[in-house]
Amino acid sequence: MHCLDVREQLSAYIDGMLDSSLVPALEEHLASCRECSAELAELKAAVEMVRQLPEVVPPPEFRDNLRRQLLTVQAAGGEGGRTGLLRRLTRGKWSGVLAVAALAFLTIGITTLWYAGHGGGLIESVSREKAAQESSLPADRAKHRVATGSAAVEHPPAGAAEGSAEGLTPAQQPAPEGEQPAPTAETGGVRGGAAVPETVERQLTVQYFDMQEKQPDGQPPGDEESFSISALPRSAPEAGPTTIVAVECTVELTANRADFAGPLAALAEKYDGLVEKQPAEPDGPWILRVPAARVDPFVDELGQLGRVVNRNVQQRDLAEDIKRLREEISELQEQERLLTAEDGAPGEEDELAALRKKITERQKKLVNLEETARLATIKLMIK
Amino acid sequence: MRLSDEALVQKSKEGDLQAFDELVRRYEGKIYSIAFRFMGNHADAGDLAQETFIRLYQSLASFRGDSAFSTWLYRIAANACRDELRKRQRRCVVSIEDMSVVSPGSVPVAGGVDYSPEEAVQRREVQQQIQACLNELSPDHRLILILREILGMSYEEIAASLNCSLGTVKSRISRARYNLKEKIKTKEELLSEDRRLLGKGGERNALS
Repeated sequence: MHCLDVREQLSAYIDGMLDSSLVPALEEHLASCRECSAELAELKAAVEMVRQLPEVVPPPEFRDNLRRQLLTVQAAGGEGGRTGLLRRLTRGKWSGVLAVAALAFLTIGITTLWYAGHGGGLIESVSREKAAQESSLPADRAKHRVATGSAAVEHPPAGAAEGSAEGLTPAQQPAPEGEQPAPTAETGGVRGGAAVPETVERQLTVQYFDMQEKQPDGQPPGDEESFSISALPRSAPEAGPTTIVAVECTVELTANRADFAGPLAALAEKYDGLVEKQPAEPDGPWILRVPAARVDPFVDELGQLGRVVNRNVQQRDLAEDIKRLREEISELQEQERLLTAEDGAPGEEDELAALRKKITERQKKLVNLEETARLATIKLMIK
Repeated sequence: MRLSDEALVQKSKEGDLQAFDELVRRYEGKIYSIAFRFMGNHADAGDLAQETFIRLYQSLASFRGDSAFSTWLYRIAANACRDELRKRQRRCVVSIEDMSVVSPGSVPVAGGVDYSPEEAVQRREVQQQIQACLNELSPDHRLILILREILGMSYEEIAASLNCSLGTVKSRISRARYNLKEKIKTKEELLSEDRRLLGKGGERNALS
């Protein structure tokens, strides 16, 4: 065992996070190598010093200041929009407004953003849900699904990805034949939903798989993910190219019920999502947010509120936007670096401040996109 | 009866400011510590800790319970740290000289262990030097060390918190520790030299 390899393993070894198969060789080396065991001792000492840093007590006025600031934020309203809305929701002001129609059309638009590296979760949750239904699928489709299902670990061969291209316009796709048992697993949150055509639900599932396959091959998801810190420039070299796809899915649903506010709120809550915006008028759009990984089962269950009569899926690639944003930031930061390197030029402070403001703005945009990638936006229309 | 964090979040979502206040009470020590260890001074730490709690308040509605509340909160803190640092890059590079301006009594710390005055001074000195070393690390490294060593988060928690793979966490922690170790060594040498020049003697070399 080389000293260089040993040094790389010491940190994990200290935490007991080293693969147990590597431990005996490491310990053997440490017993015989003075330099490496000294290195371990130094590393441990450094770690211990940081661990023993005491907790720092906030100044006494801290909480009062915070309380004042919170009141300001709350008064401003707009910034705490989601919270405010949620509160209105729980007070139930909306349920009355919406308990009018006996038959309604629902248009559901789903915008999903996710990273290549995050897709695994999506697939996992879906494939678990659908595992029981696999046998009822036409052979090629089922194979397809298996191939993509494994993409969480390993990307499917290029052939499978090409083959799926037709799946991108599922509206024209013939409904797969075969029988499918009605889903029973996730019905707890909604009562009394009418039967849903299972084919639509299945097509949606296929749709998500197809999205997944559009990613570049041969990149293990874990490596594709960028550290949220280094995802921002300055240490950007570690953040590889990221694939971000926005999917917009419009579904029309005929429903046999009047009050959507309650069931939708309950449903969103059940999937750890929320109702972000209620329609301002009876025909207006609903905005729901659901974790990207749980969109599929969410839609499944949403379908039980009524009958899906139409839907439309579109996708947009956001990678270009992200890339441009990143490039702009690193350019600006380079300027900033040059500016800070040479001290004392007149007017430098102002220029620097303006520069930093620009950087912050772009970083916020980037962070927003990254945050949104985790939480899908679902748009609903009631007609 | 002590409510769970999650129950307090729920109440806060419904507009119960007292519930939110309780959350602040529970976590202000941790959050302020993160902020102080990250920023290196109280003025900035106060702002940053406030910012963290404001962000928490504003994003309560999106707390989905996928992870523990604390993990989620630390993640907000981590993001706040990162954003703040971009704005204040310059002021954050704290040299030994800057640190020595800070009087030993200016860092109020928690915990009731009694030390002799001599020991207490010595400990504070070490702590200040460690903080100075942390300040010299890259933000990524400083942050991951704060999460790992100060908050005691597991590798898995850090991965979830920073949204990166376990492998990234492993290698980053390793690199951060090596960098820190080197900084401490350098400082140690500088210090013992200072002491020799000042005639304070080498036996108080606190970092050894």
